Formats: sequence, C-alpha cells, structure tokens
Amino acid sequence: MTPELKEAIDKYLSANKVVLFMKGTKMFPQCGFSNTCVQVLNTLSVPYETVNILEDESLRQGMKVYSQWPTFPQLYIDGEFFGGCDITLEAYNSGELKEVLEKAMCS
Amino acid sequence: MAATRSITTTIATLHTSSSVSDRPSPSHVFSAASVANFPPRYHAQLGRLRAWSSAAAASVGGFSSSAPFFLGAFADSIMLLGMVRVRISSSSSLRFRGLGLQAMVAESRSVQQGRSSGSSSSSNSVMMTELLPKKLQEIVKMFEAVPDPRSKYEQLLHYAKQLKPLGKEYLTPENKVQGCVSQVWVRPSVKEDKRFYFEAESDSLLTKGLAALLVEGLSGSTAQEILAVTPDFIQALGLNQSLTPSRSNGFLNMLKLMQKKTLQLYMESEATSSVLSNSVIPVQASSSSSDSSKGSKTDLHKMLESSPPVFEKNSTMSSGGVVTTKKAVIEEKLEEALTPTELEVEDVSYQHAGHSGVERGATETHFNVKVVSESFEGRSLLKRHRLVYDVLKDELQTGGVHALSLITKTPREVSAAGKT
Repeated sequence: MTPELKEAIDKYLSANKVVLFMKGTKMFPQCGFSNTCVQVLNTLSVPYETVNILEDESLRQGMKVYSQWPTFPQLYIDGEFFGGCDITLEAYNSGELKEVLEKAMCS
Repeated sequence: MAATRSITTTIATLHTSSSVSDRPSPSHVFSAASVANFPPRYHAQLGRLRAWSSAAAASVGGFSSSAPFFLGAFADSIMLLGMVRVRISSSSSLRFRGLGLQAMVAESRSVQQGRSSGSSSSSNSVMMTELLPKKLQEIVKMFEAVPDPRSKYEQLLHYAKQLKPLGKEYLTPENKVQGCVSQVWVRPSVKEDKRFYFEAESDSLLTKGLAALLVEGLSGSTAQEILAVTPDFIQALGLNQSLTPSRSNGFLNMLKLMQKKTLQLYMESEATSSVLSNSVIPVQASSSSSDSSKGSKTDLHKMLESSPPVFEKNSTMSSGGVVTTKKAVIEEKLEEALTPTELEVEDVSYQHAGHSGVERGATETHFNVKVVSESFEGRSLLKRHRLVYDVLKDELQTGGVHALSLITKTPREVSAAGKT
C-alpha cells in the first residue's frame, strides 16, 4: 500500500458517495457475489460507481489492506466501508441499507 | 520409440496387410511416393500415431488383425487433414466404401483419443493400480476393458441397483459428501479383522452407482490400503464422458470422505484398543462435534506417513504428516476462537467453477460458514464478519480460499428466530 495509492483511494471515495469495489463491472459482473451487490444497488436506484479490481492487481491487494477486508465485493457509502455481499444483502432485507443510502444522499 | 521407425517400413506393412484383409486397401489412399514427399517432421508424427493406434488397438484386444493398419490409415488422413489441407485436394480419393469421410474421421478421432489416452494412461495405471486394493483394481481393469461410454454408464447403473440401502439414522450431515450436486451419504464400519467396510446411499441413480463402485472397490480393505488410494484411478475408469465436472468433483469428494472417515474410525479404534496411553490422538473436527483435541505424533501417524500422500494438491499437509483439508482447518480455528454453539462449514466451490480466477474443478475455494456464538453479542454485523475474517486470515491470504459466505448469529437470535 503505497502512500500514492492510499491518497488516490481517499480522493476517489470522497468524490463519490457510493462506490462498489467488485470483480467485473456494473454491466458485466464477473462473480456471483459482486453481481448480487450490483442488483441490490440497481433495485434501490441509487447512483453509484463501480471499480473493477480484477483489472489492477496492486489495487486489488491495496483495497484488501485499506478496508481490512480480505474479499470482494466491498461497498463504500459516504467514504466508509459498509460491508461485503452478505452484509449488504442483509442490510437490504432489513431496510437498513436504504436508510444509510438516503442519509448519504442527503448530506 | 516408434518415431525412429522408417516411414517406408510402415508403408510396406500397410501393403502386406492390405492384401490379407478384405477391407478397402489403404494403400491406394497415399502412394508411398506422395507420403515420402512430406517433410520429415510429419513422418515422425505419422510414425508415432501409427505406433499409438496399433499399440492401443492391440492392447484393447477384440479387434481383427487388420484393425491396427486400418487405424493407421486413419492416422494418415487425420494428419493430412489437420496439417496439410492444401494437399488433400490433390491427393487421391480419401473416400472409403460406403462411408462419408467426415463421419469416419470424427469416429476415428474419438477412437484414437480414447485409444491413445487409454494406452498412455494404462501404462501409468499399471504402476499405480498396484497400490489399489484388489477389488478396486479389478473394477478399474473392467472399466478400462469396456471402451464404450454407454456400457460404462450402464455398468454404473448396475452397481447402483446392487447397492444395499443405508439405514435412515446414518443419513447425517457428518456422513454427507460435500460438493456434490446430489445427496450422497457414506458410512464406514470396521470389523474385528481390522478391515473397513462401507455403506452408502444417494438420491440420484448415477451418484448411487459411483458410490456403489467405491463401496465395492474399497470394502474389505485395510485402513492403509484405503488411504493409499490416489484419485488417479478415476481417470483410468474413463468415465469423463459420462460425468459432468461437478459429478466428477462429487465422485472425488466421495473418495475423500471415505478416506477421511476411515482415518477417523481407524484412530478411534486404535485409541480404544491400543496401549499408547501417553499420547492423545487428534480427531478431525466434524461439523457438529466440538471436542477436537490437539495431539502429538503417535506411532500410527508415523506408519501412515510412510504410505503415499492421500489427498491431492488442494488439501494441506500439517507438519505432523496427518492430512487435513482446508475445511477441517477452518472448523478447528473457528471452534477455538469463537467457541460456537453451532458451526457449519460447507465447501461450495463447485458453485463457482468457471468463475474468474478459479480454475475448473477447484475445490475448497469458496465456503459457506454459519457460526452461532456468544462472542457476537453486542457486535454489529460488520464487526462480526471482521472477527471471522481475522480468525481465518491465513486461509484467505495465502491458503487459496477466495470467499466466505458468512452467517453470524448469537444464540439469542437463533432461538428468537426459531420461535417466530
């Protein structure tokens, strides 16, 4: 994790409210778990960015360190790590995800 | 190797055979002159192909003596088709009486592949079938001798019908084979003669046949014989055409589970009967039992160590030489760190086969993990998941585990859910 990489990630996260670090892209998810997150976010019709970590190995390893989370996908809301697929799905089912997203959109 | 055999000798034999057999003479297909015009590389390959096909045909048996040469002619046509498309149009007619070339080449290609893979693996399998229990050896030989996939399949179904049903009380999660599309249970038992016998049950006829094959092949063997079995024999059975990758994976897991349970049972029976009072024998953590004790090396382990490695590359060998799977390691670590009231670890790698970054047929890369533990009390989902990830840090970073689907609950949540 170089300082440049960290800075770049910091910057990206402050510029974009909802970011999903995933395998593949929004249009072409390459993993079942990543796809689940994409579908959930699509259903909530919230604008979000995706980052394909398969494209860049240093980013892939970097994100694991940055988030202290060993797997993908990784969902960030308002610059904060929200969770992986399981957490996102459960939060969606409980309504918590919608709440958090709405709060983020308003701020 | 036959590559050194000169092309002229090969063609000479073709000529002699053609006068003997009543099949259409292959010699009119290629005149010796035209073949000789081909670059040396082709000659070597032609020679090799002929050698394979004749060796293979000879080893399978049941063919007329003209067959090897018949196949040899096909070798020529395949070589030509494959490499020298331009020349075909100018060479003499490749048509044989009554059959279209396409169909024949296709058939011979599959025959070739079946034959050549049969012959090359049979040389390997001769070496390692000696390591297999007698009964399994016989079964493998029988399958090798029956080349037709349809017949192999029918033989499997035959086994399925013969399989004695397993008592319902044994259809437990502990006995269930992981990573199999259908449900398969296996139950080992050991008799006074220290030999192991198996029973199995399955809800699908095909997997029943596969399980029955293993039951037949492994029952009556000693623990060492069973543990010495390497999965290569599965190749020798030649069932690849009848089994999808997930079925083959399931078959492999059946074998693994049988071996794992044999080891467990063996250790338990030795523990009760042996005089090794000063050592504690480690038992692999099964999904619901929670008393796994750490143990030191015993004479048993040293004995088992000397036999060839049992599991293939996906499992890890602990330093004591006792074979463990990633699943077992995960279970152990979680048991220790979280003292769960409920723990379930399931290998679902087969669901992710073909996934980017996961090789086909890989196992132990994706797991479903359900943990119910007091330690989750008062912690957010995120914190709970982080906790689990921390415990399994090594597996995730370097152990080849790609993903964990986590269900993390507290005992209170589980009982509350149960009441609704």
